[in-house]
Amino acid sequence: MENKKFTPEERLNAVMRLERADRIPCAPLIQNYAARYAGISNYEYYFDYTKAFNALEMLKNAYPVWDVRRSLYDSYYGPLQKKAGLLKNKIPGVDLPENYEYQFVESEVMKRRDYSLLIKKGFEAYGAEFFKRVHGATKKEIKQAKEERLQIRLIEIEDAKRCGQVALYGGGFTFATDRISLMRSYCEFIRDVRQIPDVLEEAVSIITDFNIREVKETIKQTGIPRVMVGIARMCGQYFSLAFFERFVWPFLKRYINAFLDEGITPFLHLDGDWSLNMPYFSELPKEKIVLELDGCTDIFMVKREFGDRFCLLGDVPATLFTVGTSEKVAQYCARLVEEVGREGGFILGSGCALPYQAEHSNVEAFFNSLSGRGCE
Amino acid sequence: MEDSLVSAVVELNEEKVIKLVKRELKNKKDPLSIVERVRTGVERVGELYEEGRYFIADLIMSGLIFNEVLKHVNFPEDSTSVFAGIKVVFATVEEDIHDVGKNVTISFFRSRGIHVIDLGVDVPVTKIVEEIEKTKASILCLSGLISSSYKSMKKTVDLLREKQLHKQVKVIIGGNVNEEIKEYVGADYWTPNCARGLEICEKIAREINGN
Repeated sequence: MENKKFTPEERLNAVMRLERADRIPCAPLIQNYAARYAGISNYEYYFDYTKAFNALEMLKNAYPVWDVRRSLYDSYYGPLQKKAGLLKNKIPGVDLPENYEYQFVESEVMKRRDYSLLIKKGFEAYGAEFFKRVHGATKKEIKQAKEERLQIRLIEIEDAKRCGQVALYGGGFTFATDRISLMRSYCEFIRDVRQIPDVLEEAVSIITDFNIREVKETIKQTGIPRVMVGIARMCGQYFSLAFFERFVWPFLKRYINAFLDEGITPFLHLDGDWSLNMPYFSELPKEKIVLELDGCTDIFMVKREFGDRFCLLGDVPATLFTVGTSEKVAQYCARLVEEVGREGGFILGSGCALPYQAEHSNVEAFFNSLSGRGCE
Repeated sequence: MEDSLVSAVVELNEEKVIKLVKRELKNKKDPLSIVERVRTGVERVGELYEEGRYFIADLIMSGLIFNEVLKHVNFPEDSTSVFAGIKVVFATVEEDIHDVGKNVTISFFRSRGIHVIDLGVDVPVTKIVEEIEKTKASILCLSGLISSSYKSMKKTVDLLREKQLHKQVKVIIGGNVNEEIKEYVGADYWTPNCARGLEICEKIAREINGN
């Protein structure tokens, strides 16, 4: 067993089951850093998937230890952003200089009165109304964008294979409560929590069921039984446990149970500090879920308390990549490898996205941290 | 006896607060006294946050309520506040257009009587420095969420030094930042949230105003 060389897929599956593999898998969330590395503009990266995937391949060739393609390029693919982009956005080369970073503009697009429309007609219908308001997109354009997005996902999965990598996600989505906060704007969402909790709860439930149906369908198409569930602003860093118990936890469990019933592994992408909420996670089944942390929740604490339950992915902080030194990156990665990864159940990754402005030497230190640890 | 207006703010009951404010205005109550009582409620919300009983979302809600009250009440600036005479300039730095955290913090600061000048998002370095020169502001709050923002923050601080303005103004950075980013940028302070930001501003204001 010690000498067996695992394929990227075998390696990933082994650590997800909390077993040891021949080495720790490596899954930085690399988006447009690849553009900078390859010397193409951000505009080219977002609008030309061939150039984008070539940039990712260049990185893979430079760092062969990178074996897990943790990317949802389709969510950022430029030509779809003004039809079905998650929110109103500003895009490099379109609304911004071509080497600016892609950014969302959060505003109160969804009005309070829209809850009734969402509840009455469902999220598919409301989503169409939302995209029409934000992007001026027609139902036909939205449908085409959805189909094209799936095609891009399939192309990226094939591209990962071509590069000798395993694609991590078959699909991904934003947690229902978070999605509402983005559509309503954070401040108006906070008002809703206080002022119309029953309505909000009903809307979250509707979006949750919609997401579950969509994910099942997408996973059927992509054949990758893993889904990224993005949750950013719903944790104890911002909200009380009473909020969590009503608007997050029941729905998170609903997602998890539905996905596990279908043999889909949820990767919970937990941005922010979830320390206060972590005790609830002990209710979740063992060896079935992966937690992605971003450096705000103490991954070493989570490993100590829940290491026998969940595989962890993370969590080299974006700031360390940007303004840290290669020595500091190497030290942090070594600690992760030793304390979190030693017994298996760990995937080395960037906290959230590996930043566009990351120092190249820091990225190198990140990848090199796995050398001599079962890597050739 | 508990002041029902203060209690309504502490309960974060916006509808009740506005109803009470309208009633008091109709009864010709002093606008400054109304605003001061609302502010007392906001301060209690801050205390509850310090005690771990309220959360950031509750602080934000108290700021929203205060802003809503200001739509109904005109009142003069409070010359006895620790923040009297202190101007705070806010900007999301060049290349970054995120403003949720900045706007929330501005609301919260205004609810504590701080005079805020908001320059908006993607603000060029030179414009920020010109504004500091022009307004003679004592505090500059720079916000940034994406990695490109760190370089813009650093350029801003560098230009403040070049123009010898760094002794006049304290720089606080917020957003996706930490101690390392503060050191890199050369800022005086960093804050993870609006509550800590307020504490820092209070400290600076006390140093300036000598109380």
